[in-house]
Amino acid sequence: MDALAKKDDTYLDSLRSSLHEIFAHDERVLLLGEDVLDPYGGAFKVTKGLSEKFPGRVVPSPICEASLVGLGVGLSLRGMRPIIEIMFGDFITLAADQLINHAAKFSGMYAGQVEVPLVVRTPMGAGRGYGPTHSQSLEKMFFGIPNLKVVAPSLWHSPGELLKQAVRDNGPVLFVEHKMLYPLVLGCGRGIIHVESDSDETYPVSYVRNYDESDQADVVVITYGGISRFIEALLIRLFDEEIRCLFILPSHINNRNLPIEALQKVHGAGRVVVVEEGTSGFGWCAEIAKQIYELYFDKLLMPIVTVAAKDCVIPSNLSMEKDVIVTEDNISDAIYKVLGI
Amino acid sequence: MRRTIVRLPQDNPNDTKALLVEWLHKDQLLVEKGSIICLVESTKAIYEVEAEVCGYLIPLLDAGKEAAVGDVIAVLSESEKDTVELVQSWIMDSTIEIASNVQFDQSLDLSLVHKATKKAEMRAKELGVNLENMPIIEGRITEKHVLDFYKNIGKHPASPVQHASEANLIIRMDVYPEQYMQKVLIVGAGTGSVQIIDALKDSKTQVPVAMLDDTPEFLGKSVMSVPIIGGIRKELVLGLLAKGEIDAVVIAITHNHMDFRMKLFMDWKESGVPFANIIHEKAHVASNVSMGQGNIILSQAYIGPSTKMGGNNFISSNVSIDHHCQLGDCCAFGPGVVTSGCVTIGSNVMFGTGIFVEPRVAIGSNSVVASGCIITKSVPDFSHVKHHSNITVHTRG
Repeated sequence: MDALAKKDDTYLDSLRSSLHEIFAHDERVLLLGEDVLDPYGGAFKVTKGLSEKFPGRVVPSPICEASLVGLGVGLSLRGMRPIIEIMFGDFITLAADQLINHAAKFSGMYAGQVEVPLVVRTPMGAGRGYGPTHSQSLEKMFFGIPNLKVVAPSLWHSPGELLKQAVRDNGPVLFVEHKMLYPLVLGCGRGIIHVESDSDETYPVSYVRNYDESDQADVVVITYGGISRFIEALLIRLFDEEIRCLFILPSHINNRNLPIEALQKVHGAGRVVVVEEGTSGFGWCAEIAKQIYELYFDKLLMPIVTVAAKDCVIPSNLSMEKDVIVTEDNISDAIYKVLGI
Repeated sequence: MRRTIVRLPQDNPNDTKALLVEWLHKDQLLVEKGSIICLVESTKAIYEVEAEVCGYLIPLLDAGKEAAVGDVIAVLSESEKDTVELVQSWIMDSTIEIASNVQFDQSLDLSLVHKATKKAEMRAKELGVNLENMPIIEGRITEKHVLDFYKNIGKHPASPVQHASEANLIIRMDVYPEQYMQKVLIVGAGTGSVQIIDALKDSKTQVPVAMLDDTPEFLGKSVMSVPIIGGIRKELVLGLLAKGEIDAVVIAITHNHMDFRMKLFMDWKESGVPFANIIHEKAHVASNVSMGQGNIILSQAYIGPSTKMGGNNFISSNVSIDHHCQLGDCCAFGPGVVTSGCVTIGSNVMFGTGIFVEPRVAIGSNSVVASGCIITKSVPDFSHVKHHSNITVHTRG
């Protein structure tokens, strides 16, 4: 799989064109969601052109997230490959029962006699001043649910390829997009920035660094999804400060084991920062840190530094929102902290 | 002249253009960073555009007009004399390259860029290097600068002395702050000075800063980057001490000038000049050893426990003065002089090379011991000890 993107595609382009390819190749694929029909093509335009091209396979619905996902579960039990679009990630709470108690359980409860190859796509994330109930990163609620995969494409993956993989998956996948990433051109290696992908993994891990392969990183930053929008500017700034930094971006983010290659890179540097966009406490950072401490406690030079949003409701006001969510400066501060400066 | 470009921001993923509703300030007005400069209408809402920096506002898009997301709509200029025409021709001429995902031009405020890179700061902290002590360079201090400085710390002039008034006192390390390096002046720019500079190469407490030599051609030159700044004059030395440019002196002149060495040392010492002990880190000075000032002890030398020595002794490499010995002032030892325990040596004694001394022997002051001697009995002052052997030299045939 070509896990890295075509040049100049935006995150949105990659998703949209991939949807068209998926629909063309597999008749079992349907898409259900709110406002998904052309000409509107979805709140974030991901489904633009789809209903025109594939009439009858793009199904609009009223505001009923639980029903949408419930329908999706039913369709997948019956052999279809449905993709459910939830307009804002904040609304996933309404579909939580369908996802957790139905989609993630049936295969196990019926001893593998049935499968639920369901994909639920939704954009999470803050930064536009959309307010407390339209800006959250609620994927952390779905970590640790057995049989439910959470996949989050970053700017340094091919979101379209990851979506194809999610559709191919025979189990339920919560596919977490990020609203700030949609208009951005996908990251690629140029100048001082080098990008690699761990193509052995079904859901690949991307590695983005600002130094040559022959050197050793001073610090490793592990993160996923929307936080990747800060990487290019950060790597350039750090390069000017002579700091060699490696970003590790898993795509299957609730994988119980970080891939070995990722861990080996951690091992070399000895200093780690973990960043998530969700609120701090009891989240992704804690789990990743735990995995690293279990394996590499004696190789660490400093305790792992974590960065997450403040433990409070996200304000609507743009400048107040900036104080609460994770910013580029929060990440660079954490990097300097773990470097001891 | 610094100008910051204001571009039309993207309000939401659905809109690729928007309408400029109105400018909230008159042209060329000085606006504060963070103040609202204009209102823009998208399909969903009217939103405010903030000034990213403080500057004189020069709008470039008329109110009521539409523009595409990312278009330049204004410039914030640092000069009140700037005009629309000047700005427009500047935009035409500029080859400003903006990263694809950046929506506001961030002109770099150089006063915010720190002098040393973060990596240099990190390295300096690890090595205990004080960045303020480093020589002033153009551009930023990098990690390489710090590493080079650390390696060659003797080659750089040290920082101003904090204890200038105490420079004439006997050297006491408890008076100096932890990272202070004693600035040493070397008298004599011959081979002895090279040995002293080498002995101090990795020292964390002493650094050779200058040399004196009477050879006129040497003035202004340097030995291993230590400059020769003048002739051997006491007044010069006292002046340097008073100004705090040096802390202590060591005499590098050796064997061939025993009398000169001794006279210089005695005279200057009487005038209050402090002398430094130069001990190579690979020399072994054992327990309970006491010594005066101005001694030079080179690599692989050994001074055994409870030995007492005076000052201004030149002890070459591989010299071994064993336990419970007594050594006076101003002696000079060639390499490979080995004494046993409880040997007493006076002052102003010169030793050649390859000499052995049995225990409890006393060697009187002002003596000379030739190379190869094995001394088994005491000798009085003013002795010349030679040995006669059957070493002959023929040409190889």
